[in-house]
Amino acid sequence: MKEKPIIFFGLVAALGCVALLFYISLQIEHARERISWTNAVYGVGMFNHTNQTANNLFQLTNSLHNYRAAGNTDEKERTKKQYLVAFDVLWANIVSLRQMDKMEASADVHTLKDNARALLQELDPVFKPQVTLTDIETREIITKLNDLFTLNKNVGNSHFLEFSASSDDVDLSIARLQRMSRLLILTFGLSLITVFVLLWRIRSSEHRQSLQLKSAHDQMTLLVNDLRSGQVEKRAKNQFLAAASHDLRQPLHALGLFLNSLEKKVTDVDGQHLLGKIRSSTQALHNLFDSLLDISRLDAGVVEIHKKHIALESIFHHLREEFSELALQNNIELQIEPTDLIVYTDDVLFLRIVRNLMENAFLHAPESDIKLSANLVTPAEINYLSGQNPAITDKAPAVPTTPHPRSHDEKNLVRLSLSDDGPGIPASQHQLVFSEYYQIKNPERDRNKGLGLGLSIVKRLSDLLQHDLQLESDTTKGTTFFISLPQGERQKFDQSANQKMIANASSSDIAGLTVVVIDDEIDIRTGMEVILENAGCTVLTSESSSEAISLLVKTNLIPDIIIADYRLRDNKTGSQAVEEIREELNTDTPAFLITGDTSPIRVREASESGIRLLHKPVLPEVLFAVIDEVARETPEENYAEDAELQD
Amino acid sequence: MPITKFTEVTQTLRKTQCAASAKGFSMLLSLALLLGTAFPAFSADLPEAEGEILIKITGNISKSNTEGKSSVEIDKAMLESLPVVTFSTVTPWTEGNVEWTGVRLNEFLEYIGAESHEFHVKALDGYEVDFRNVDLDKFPVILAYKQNGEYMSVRNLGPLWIMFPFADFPELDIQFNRSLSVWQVREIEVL
Repeated sequence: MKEKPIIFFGLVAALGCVALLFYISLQIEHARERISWTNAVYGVGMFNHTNQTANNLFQLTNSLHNYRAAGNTDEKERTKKQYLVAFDVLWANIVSLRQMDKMEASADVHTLKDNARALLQELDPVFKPQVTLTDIETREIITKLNDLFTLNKNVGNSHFLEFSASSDDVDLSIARLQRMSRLLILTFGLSLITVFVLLWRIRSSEHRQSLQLKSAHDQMTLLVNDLRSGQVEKRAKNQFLAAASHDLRQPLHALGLFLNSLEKKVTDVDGQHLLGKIRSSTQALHNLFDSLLDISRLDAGVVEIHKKHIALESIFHHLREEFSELALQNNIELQIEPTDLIVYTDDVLFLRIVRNLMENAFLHAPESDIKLSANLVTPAEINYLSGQNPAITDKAPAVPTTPHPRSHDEKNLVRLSLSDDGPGIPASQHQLVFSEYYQIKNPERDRNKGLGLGLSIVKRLSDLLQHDLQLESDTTKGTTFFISLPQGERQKFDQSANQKMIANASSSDIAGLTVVVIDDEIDIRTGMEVILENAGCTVLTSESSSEAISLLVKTNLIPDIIIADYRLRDNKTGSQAVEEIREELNTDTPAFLITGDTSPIRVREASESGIRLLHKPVLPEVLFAVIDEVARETPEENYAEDAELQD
Repeated sequence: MPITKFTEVTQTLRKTQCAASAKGFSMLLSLALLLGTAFPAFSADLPEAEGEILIKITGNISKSNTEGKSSVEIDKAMLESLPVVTFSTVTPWTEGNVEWTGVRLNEFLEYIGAESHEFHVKALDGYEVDFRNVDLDKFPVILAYKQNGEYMSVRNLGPLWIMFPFADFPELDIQFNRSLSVWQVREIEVL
């Protein structure tokens, strides 16, 4: 508390003020008493009295002198009247006036008073009209009056001195009062300043507190909003997924590599049968991980969109190939209507949307009819249709995207519909089916039916691509999903890109390539070495870039492709390792990264390096296809792609 | 502060002046008689004093009761014919609470035809003072002739004493008014 000393100081100053005021009032009272006493004893009253006494004595002696000097009887009578009045006046002054009695006078005043009164008493009998004073008597009286005069003069003198001293005393005490009042002013000023400082401090601390309160409130609001919107759970989930999937993916990745090698070694039928089961289980595991990864990638906002004009039929063709056999196995009548429509979308992401919807239908509508078709609709029609199901359309996209210059409203739309005649979804759950981990009729959480991430990925992806997604379902007529996407332009669609997307790479295509594998885990290195050598590649494995460089120097080989794990020892990344090798060889060797990280931050980091990134576990077929694709890219194409990324 | 300047010397000087002016007295008197019709205020306004003269008034007054002099002489009977005012107060010069009896100064001044409420006072003991700056219409300041019901002798600071009602009006109890409380009043010259 910084205020404590200030409060203490202010209190002392205020108390000082009060004490000084009290002292000053005492002093003033004292000074007034002093002045009044001085005035009474030595002041104007006493001065006047002394003066008057002197005058009266003078008048009396003067009239007595005149009486002595008087020549005739008339003059004697006249001067006698005079001295009689003068005697009465002196009597009044000395005897009748009580003033002198009231004064706490000094000894000489008493002496004067006593002597004068004694003399007046003594002379009283002879100062009568009928008494005639002799000349000698008169002279003696004059002498006695003169003595009194001298005594009175001395009293006056000594009083003058005493008055001077006393007035000096009074002056001194007034001067002290003045000093005191200056001190009082100072002290009062200090206490005023203290009061103002305190007020200011209180104000500013209130201001500070209100700011703190506000920021605390803001933080609370943020937290509460996070809690309400599920941000907190989402973060926790992302952290958990990232941690768990990294640890699980490494062995899964290795498992896939070993399994592929084992397949060629197992010759007997039972073994192959078992191996097939292991493969399908592994496949299921892969799919689950992919779903998890998709969610984390979407959450991280690192999914890049590459929209192209593509033939919808190429997507349908892919789905037919993928699902027709599965439909037969599950006793499902799958009908995918051929189409010649062109659409404008990201082929990879769009394929995932439709595939997820298809898988969802396979899971939830077993032994039913599944029909996929597409038709062209005008914007007016789609507006009317979207109005029917606001539950989904009014939800804002989970991932913000840059709007495409071509808006839905201006162009015709292609409307895809995927319907089944399965059990359907109750209207109350239409919104819920798009949330994560939500599964209808899977309370036992059968993992063969997936994690329940399928539709939530579909929702996120369609928001990302700005494709309108709608659901029409009830428990009597099955479920239909509608996706609306912009119609593409036929003259712009790229035949080769479509061909490439659905091209199936095989191990034979990559035979003869020299591959450098950098991974800090021995299992992965061994697995990669086995399957790549089986595919006819020359493989150099190393745990770091420096080891790879020394191996290349030793063997004098020029690598066709570098495959690096994203996270290496000594805090190095795969992209750094790739750069180091490229610099050493002075060539722009094709490369790609493999990572087991699914944490959004890691994924973003890796994608920022500009090198293609695969996520563990990578199936051998995918691995071959990517090696084939990356190794075939000419350096020019690479540069072009880099430039595009920088945009 | 009261200044006592009155001495036997000055008193003697004034008497000499009076004697000197006696020469032109008859001339002045005849002039006054001649102008008698023009100044009807002369003489007849106030009765002549019959008893012992207590106070003599000169100066700026419109009345007179002395032949040949524009002055008024007042005796006890004349004073007592005026309305009587009585109050009690303590003073620095007397013992205890004293009852004072006399005439109000403003009424007295009107009685003698004074043109103003300012006057010069002279006392038997030679004390002189200009009486000014007192609101005589507001405060009943009196010319007292009795103390505790008794006439005052010269020995008792009488026969006349200008007295302020200090007890009834504490605001009057200041040093300056004390200096105006003249005892043994002998003569007033209206200014």
